[in-house]
Amino acid sequence: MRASGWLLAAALVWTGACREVTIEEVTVTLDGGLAPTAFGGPRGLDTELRVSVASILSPTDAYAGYAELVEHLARELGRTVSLSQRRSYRETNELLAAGRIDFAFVCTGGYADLLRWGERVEVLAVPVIDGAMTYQSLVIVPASSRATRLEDLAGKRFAFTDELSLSGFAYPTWAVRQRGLDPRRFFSASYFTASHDRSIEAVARGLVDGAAVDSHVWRQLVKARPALAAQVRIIEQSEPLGVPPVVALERLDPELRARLRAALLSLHQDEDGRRLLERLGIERFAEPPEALYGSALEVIRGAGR
Amino acid sequence: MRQLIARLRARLWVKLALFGVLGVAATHTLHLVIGRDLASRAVLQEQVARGQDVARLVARQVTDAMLVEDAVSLQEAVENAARSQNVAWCFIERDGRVFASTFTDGTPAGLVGVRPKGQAPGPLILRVGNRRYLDVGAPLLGGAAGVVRVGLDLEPLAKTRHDLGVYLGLVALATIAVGVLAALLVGRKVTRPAQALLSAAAGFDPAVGAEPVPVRGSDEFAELTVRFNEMMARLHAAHAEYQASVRKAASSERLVALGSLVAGVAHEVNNPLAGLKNVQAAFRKGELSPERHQEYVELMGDALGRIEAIVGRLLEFGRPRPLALAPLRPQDLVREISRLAGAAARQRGVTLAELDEVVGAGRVMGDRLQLGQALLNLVLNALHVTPRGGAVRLRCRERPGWLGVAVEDDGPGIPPELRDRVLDPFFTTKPEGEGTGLGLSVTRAIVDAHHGELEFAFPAAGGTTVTLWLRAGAP
Repeated sequence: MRASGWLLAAALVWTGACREVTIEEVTVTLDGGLAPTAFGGPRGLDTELRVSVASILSPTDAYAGYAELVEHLARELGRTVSLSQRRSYRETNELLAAGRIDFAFVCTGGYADLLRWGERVEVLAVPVIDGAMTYQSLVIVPASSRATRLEDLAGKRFAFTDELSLSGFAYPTWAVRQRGLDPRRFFSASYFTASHDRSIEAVARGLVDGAAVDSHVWRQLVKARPALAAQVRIIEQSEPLGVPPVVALERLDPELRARLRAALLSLHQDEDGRRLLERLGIERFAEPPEALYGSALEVIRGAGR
Repeated sequence: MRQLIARLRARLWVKLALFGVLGVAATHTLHLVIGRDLASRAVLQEQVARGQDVARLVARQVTDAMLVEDAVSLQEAVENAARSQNVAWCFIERDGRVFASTFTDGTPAGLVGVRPKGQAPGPLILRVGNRRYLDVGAPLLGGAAGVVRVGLDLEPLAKTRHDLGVYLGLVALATIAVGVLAALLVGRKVTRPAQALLSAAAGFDPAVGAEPVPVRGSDEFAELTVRFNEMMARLHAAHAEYQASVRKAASSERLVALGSLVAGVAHEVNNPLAGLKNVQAAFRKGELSPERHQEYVELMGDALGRIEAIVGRLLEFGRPRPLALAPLRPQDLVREISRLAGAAARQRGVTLAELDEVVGAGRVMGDRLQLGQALLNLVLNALHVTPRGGAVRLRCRERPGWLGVAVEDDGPGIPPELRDRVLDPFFTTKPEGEGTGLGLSVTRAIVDAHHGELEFAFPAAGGTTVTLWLRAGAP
């Protein structure tokens, strides 16, 4: 009897001890009003600068690369800088056109579109990558594909990135047209993946038979994910085209624009800036030479848009 | 006896059953407490894991949508999450602002603010009113892009806990029932041999002996039964031995008593012998008238008859016999013994008085000769202690249901320190050679055989009164 009493006591102590590891309990009252919602809320302070990054990369990758750069610029300017992302180049362009953002890292195709619609924007700086201010459009196929030329992709499935993309849409369309073919009928099916990295993945996984991508994104991916890159083969590449620029609205205070440009141009001069540039695969920012985008605009026009 | 056994048995049963029930109840309380606790904790862990899975899935799904501020995709994602079983809510918040939520009328600020901003969200149990919810969270881009919060209703968990409790309780009840049954059966098994032993012990008479209790099984009770049987056999043997020694003692005591009587008897025989001698002398002279001759012949006959009677009584007294019960009157016993011991009393110069104040004509069942020996022993003891010139009085007594013979002496009485020992065998105050010390113990054995009593009294006036009581009544 006594033994069973001890046993019972021990068990109670044991279960009591085990209770300590259970989950914390909190009493919540629901009469404290409602939490504010994020969308459609009041606009930020006027001193806030707003920036967007065109979806050359997927939003998550772009965020990883640009969030810190944006913070760095905010420190340099002594201003709050908020980053907004969108899924398509056109949405970014529309943010600019509507004055909802002040400057943006757009893509070349997007920049050309802004010019086409007569938006008053100024190129603040362009990135220098591998010593050049140009990049290329690469036509890629799965490593196992027998295609060696763009023509071999006739009747195949093809992935574009964005309807405003130079390297991901305008160039392959232009190249097909150059061969005297109808780009609208050349591929059996085409998809818009919204970003270059997703296009590369679609090809690597065999979801499509080919895609056209940004050479800069490709090189970054070869470094970061060599196994994925090994599943993809390049069959064609474009002439050098002007790199995607950083643009600002002309109605933004000229002094602020000048400071913004200065901050970009001097990024590579301090260690923190170099680290951020390195992460984006950029050597430095520079002022664009005249007619940097001549060939790009020609391709876009030739693509028939 | 039957009642006692039934009571003992019932008590044993109740004890065994109680032990069984207590044991089973204690064990099952433990099972209930521990099992329920373990199970409900396991279920809770399972719920935490599930909640975290849902939250992480939503987080992976909505990271891009969150970055591009795609409110529609965010809302779709949280509503999809809420379709999972038991999911009470799902919302996405950053710095206290809600980006998408399953609360269509707005998300309660208390719920959003329950977690400090920017902290990695571990599981929490939220008590809202009288319901409990499990709140888990998954960060978006390490929390920089916000947190997906998922709430799981714990009501099903409480129900599981309750069901488990009921189930374990039923199992416990069933086990207790089986335990009680087992205790009753075991109790029966244990009490049956105990009952047999109890009955045997109750009915055991060492004089008669007993049939051995049948040995069942091979457990402790079987061993106990074997020992018990052996003990009964030993008791029976010891009793027989005792009886034999008592018989032996009685016979030797009879011889001692005979010795005491012989002197008186010799005196008594002497008178008729003297008469015979005179008659013989007269016959030798031969000058007897025929009338005288006839008278003398009759005198001779008388004398020889008396001698024959005296010797006959002695012979009868000295012969060992089995107990032969017959109705007899205590007065007759008194008369006979006073006649037998009269001579011895006269020789010692002690008056042996027979006080005739006897009431009624009650009779007892007894063995005349054995009771005679018992009374004679008392009288001889009384004569022995009474100084010359004193008296020993025999008195018949009566009390409801009993008739008795009291022997009063004028002796010094028995010292208080010896009173407890007078009935012990071989206890004697007589000088060496005058007694075996068995007199009173033999008397007592005889009285016991008649289911009588020996009563000792020590009157203030001195002396000792020993009363031999016998149950009144005879057919």
